[in-house]
Amino acid sequence: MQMESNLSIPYNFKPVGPSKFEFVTDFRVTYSVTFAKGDQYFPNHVRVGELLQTVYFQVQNNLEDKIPIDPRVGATISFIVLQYFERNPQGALFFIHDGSDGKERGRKQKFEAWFRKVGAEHLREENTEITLGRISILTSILFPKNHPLADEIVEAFEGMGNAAAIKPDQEDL
Amino acid sequence: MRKINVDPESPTGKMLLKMLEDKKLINGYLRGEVDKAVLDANGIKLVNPL
Repeated sequence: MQMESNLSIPYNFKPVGPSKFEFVTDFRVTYSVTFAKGDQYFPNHVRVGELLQTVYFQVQNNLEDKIPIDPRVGATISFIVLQYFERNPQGALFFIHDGSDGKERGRKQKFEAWFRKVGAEHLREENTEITLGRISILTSILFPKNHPLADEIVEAFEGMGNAAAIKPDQEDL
Repeated sequence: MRKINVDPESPTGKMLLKMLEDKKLINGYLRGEVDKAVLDANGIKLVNPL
C-alpha cells in the first residue's frame, strides 16, 4: 500500500531510444512518451512551427483489463512536461487529446487536473475543440507566459482551423 | 474553450485528418507495432527535447 505522501512522486522515466521514454508504474503498467516536430501543422507560422513540439503518451501494455487509478502517472506526466520547459524555455508543447474511443474529454480533464496540482503557474494553456465532420478533436498548447512569441503562438494555434472554419462556436455541422 | 467546425474536405480539414493519422502511427510506434521507417515515410520527425 502506498503512503499518501508518495502519491505525488513521479515515477522514474528513462530513455529507451533516441526519442522515446518509458516509465513503469507500481501496477506494472508501462507508459511510453515521445515528442515530434509539429511544424507541419502550422504551415503559416514558420517561427512558431520551428519551436513547437507535439508530445504523445501511450500505454504500451497492460496486464489488467482496466488500468488502475494511479495518481503517480499524472505526477510523472506533469514532471516530464515541466522538465521539457526547464530545458526548452523558448519551447511550446502541442497536445492532441485522443478521441478515438470517445474519452478525449476525460483525458483532457485529467490533464488539466494534473497541471493544477503541480502549480505550473508560469505556463499558459490554450484549448480548442475542433469538429471535423463526425470527429471531435481536442487540442491544447502550452507555453511559458513570458514567451517572447506568445502572441504569435496563440495566433498560430487559433489559426489552425480558421482557413476553412465554418460556423464557429457551433457544436455540430 | 474555443470551438470551431472544419470541413473535412477543405485543405485545413485534410491537414487535421493527417494530424490524427500521424497520432495513430506514433501511438503504434510507441506500442511497438509500427516501425520507425513508417514514421519517416509519413514525414513524422521524432525529436528528443529532454
